[in-house]
Amino acid sequence: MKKYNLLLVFFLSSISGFSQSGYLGKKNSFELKTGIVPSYRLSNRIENSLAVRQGKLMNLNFIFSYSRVLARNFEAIAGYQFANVKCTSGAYIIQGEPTISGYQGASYYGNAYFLQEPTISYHGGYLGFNFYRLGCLAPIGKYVGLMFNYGLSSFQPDDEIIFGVRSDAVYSSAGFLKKSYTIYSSDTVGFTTPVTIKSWHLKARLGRNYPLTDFLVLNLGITIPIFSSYAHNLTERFGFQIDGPSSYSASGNWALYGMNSLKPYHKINFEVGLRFMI
Amino acid sequence: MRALSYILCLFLTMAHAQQLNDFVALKSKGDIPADFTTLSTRKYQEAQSQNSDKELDKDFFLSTRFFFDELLLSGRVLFNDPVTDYLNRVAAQVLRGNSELKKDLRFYILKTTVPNAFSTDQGVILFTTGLLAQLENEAQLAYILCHEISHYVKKHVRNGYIEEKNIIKGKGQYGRLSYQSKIAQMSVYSKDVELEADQGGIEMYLKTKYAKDEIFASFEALFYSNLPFDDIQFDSNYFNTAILKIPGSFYPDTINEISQEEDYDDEGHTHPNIQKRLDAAMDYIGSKESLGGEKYLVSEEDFKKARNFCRFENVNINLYEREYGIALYSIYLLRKDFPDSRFLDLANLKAWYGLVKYKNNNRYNEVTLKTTKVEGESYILHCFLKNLSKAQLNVVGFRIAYETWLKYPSDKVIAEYFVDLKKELAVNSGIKFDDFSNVSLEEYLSTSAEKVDSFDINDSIQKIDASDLSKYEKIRLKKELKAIGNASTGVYGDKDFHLYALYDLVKEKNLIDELKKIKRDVEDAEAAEKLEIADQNKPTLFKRSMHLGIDKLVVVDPIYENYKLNEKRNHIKSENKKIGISDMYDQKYSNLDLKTQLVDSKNLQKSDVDEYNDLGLLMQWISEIVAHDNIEMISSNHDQILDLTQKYGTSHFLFSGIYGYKERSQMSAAHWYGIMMFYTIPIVLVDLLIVHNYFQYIALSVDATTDKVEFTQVSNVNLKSIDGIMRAYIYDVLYQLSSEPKNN
Repeated sequence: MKKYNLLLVFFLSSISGFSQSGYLGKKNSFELKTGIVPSYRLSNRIENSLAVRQGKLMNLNFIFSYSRVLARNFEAIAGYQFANVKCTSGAYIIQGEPTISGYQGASYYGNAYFLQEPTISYHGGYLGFNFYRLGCLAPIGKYVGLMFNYGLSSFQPDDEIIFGVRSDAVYSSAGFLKKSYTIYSSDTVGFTTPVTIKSWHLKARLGRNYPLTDFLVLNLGITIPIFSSYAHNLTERFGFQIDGPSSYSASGNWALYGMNSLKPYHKINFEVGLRFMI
Repeated sequence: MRALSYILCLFLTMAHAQQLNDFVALKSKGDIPADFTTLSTRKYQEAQSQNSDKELDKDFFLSTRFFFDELLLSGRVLFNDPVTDYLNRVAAQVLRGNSELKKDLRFYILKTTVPNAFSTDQGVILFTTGLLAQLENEAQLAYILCHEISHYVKKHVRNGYIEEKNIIKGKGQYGRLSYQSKIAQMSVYSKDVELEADQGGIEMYLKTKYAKDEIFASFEALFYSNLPFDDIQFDSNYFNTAILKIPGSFYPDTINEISQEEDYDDEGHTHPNIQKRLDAAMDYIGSKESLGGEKYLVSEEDFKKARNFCRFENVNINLYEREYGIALYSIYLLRKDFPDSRFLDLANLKAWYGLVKYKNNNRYNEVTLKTTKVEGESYILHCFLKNLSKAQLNVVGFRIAYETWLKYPSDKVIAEYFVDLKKELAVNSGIKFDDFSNVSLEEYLSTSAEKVDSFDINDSIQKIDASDLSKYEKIRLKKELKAIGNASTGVYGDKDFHLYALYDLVKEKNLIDELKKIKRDVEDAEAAEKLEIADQNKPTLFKRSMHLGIDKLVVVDPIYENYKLNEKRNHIKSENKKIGISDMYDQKYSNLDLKTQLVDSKNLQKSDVDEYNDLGLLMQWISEIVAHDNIEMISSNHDQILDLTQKYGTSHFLFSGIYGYKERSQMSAAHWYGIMMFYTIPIVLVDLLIVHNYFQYIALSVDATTDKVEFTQVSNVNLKSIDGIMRAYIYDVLYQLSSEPKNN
């Protein structure tokens, strides 16, 4: 490991040996960015005693990063990414006869749905670089780059899922991609120990920076995942056993539920940001 | 009284000769006319707002104002100098009694060897130094002025534009013409216009007191204006000195006769042939007479003075345009009248220096004329230059430099050329220094004769053949013996004349050792430099910066040009942005330890004549340096440029240009691949449909003390040339120029 650290130090010091001007002499910058990951998902929540199922078209994430120009067409970046991950199971129907059992002795018959799902936080850190191409000078113009991203998300003891039986008929469809249903019966699932989900990502970046003033630069970019890996620290069950033929039944645990909810946040991310050059 | 006027005349002639002996270059003087200080955009707007001619569109005003202003601000146009003053006095004669027209017209001299004169719709008439150098008298100048004024009066620029537009669009009588016919029709129209201008010119000329016959003489002057200003036999002893003896065999026995016919086929030309013009003029004049028969109304002396200035200036132009052979012939002609001119001595040295440098860099053809294209007496000189080998050229060049240096021992500029030619002789001439003789050719010939008398050469050759010597030793010895034999009979190899051309220096100044030392030193220095260059050229993913540690920089007239998708220049935007870019160079960047001084053509005020002249000189200088490309050599303007380094307090001059343009992507393999990937089809479509913005930024910094390009940067950038981005690139260049090298 020491050898790799030395190599990294050598690499960074050798490229910083190429002198560079930065943008009007400013080589360091802090950036605030908003990322939008387009994906269609259905989220469930209870609103005015009705089960609301709403289509979500995009997932937001927020980034704060520091970058330094190391060569005339190269900059290194370290950043922090945050997202409020709305867990979604979609329109998953818990089927079976009895479909759900083992939870506080209750049993449900007929189709059951997730009625309200929790929101978990994603905190990620990343290291990366941008390579300025097509004649552009860092940090202005068009770039391509790579970033290595490591993130943590966790379910806390307060997080809970409400599921239950609702009508199949739509009660109201007011609002964009929004439908509400009458709830017949519902129940809440909570858990006792925190569940942590770790994720690693290798992402490609491309985009461009436009100077707005001598200190401010507008960034428009896209981040594309190349490789992702997820892990979690335990396999705590929802607290009930899902039987039946559903695929969910084989791995119905918090971690998997969380991971599946997290994945849409790590798809193609369209970013808009402001860089403050110093 | 008569004696006094003779003395005054003699004094003036001597003063003029002195002026030309110390000639440097023609320069503008006094206040800069408004033609030069008014922005092109303003000229365009004013012209368009005052225009009542419905046939003239904005393209006419845009193209005429902007393109002509480029020429005006090139630094090649002279005003208030002795030649332009004289031109204006002749123009005043021609326009006497026509005060309205006089108010409309402005006359300037354009520094170029191309013999030409032209007028614009704005009332500016330009007369080139190349044409004035060819004329025989003031009356010829007056006629050509009348011809150009007639173009203006008859609005030929305006009519030509409309006619050309009609021809291209196929309007009216041009409706069914093919492309070729349209081109031919333009030429026909242009010739008609010239004949009309001749008539108008004649009419105006005949109202003056100039001699009528000079109209015809001026046509002849124009006809032969592609030849040097005189056609005098070239003396094959011209370059010979007491020591340098160039054999006559290097010069051709006959010249290439002038083959031009006055009635040449002028199809496709813009001007009718001279015979047609002469015939038309004769028909038109008929029995008309002018008011007098004078060849000079202003002053014969002033005409000759102005013409000489132009001839001297043309030598300058020949040198920076690398026409060394042409310069040498002009110098040869001018030396007959000005044998003691330092300018001509220096120009002669510069021309030889240029020839040697280009020969040693295997680019000799770029700076010498094809002898088949040379006609007249100068043919002899051009053939001679072609006949010289690299070694011979180096020796002749060095000998001339040495003689010039002896004549002007304290002249630093001449010393610089001399030193560099010595270096060329040592390093690049390919001569084996030990071959240089330390005796004169005459002495060698007589010694050889004595040697031969004392032994039988044929017998010695037989003995060598019979000996056990190696094949190569036999060849060498027999060659030497034969040379002695030839020399004894007065036949020596002409090709070796150069080996005796430095015998005095070999004998008395130890030249061979000096050359060997120079060669050794240069080779050592080059070896070290090569290592450094190899290190710099190591392939790297990351762009490198340079660090020159410059603390003051002169930024010379930054260029900005913007082109539309149809490749037409966006004139107004280009001028506005150019002004903005100049400000970017001129502003103080707190992070940079660099002072910049701007010399800008768009920022000239009435009193900035020195800056205007500097601009012209700097433009000539950079065009010459760029043309030399990888040949490291002292520029022909070096002496004047050194004065500028004193004036501006730095030897570093930055030339730069930004060229913004738009393009659509062409279908490429990457696009086909993108289509095959299916999901990327939208990206491919967007890429093909949108207009991409690009700009090219070129920056070049030259060190005036060495005439070397010290920094170059060419960036091809796929971005729109908006201010913020351009400023980043400008800052980057200024940073590289000012930042101190890391190892210091």
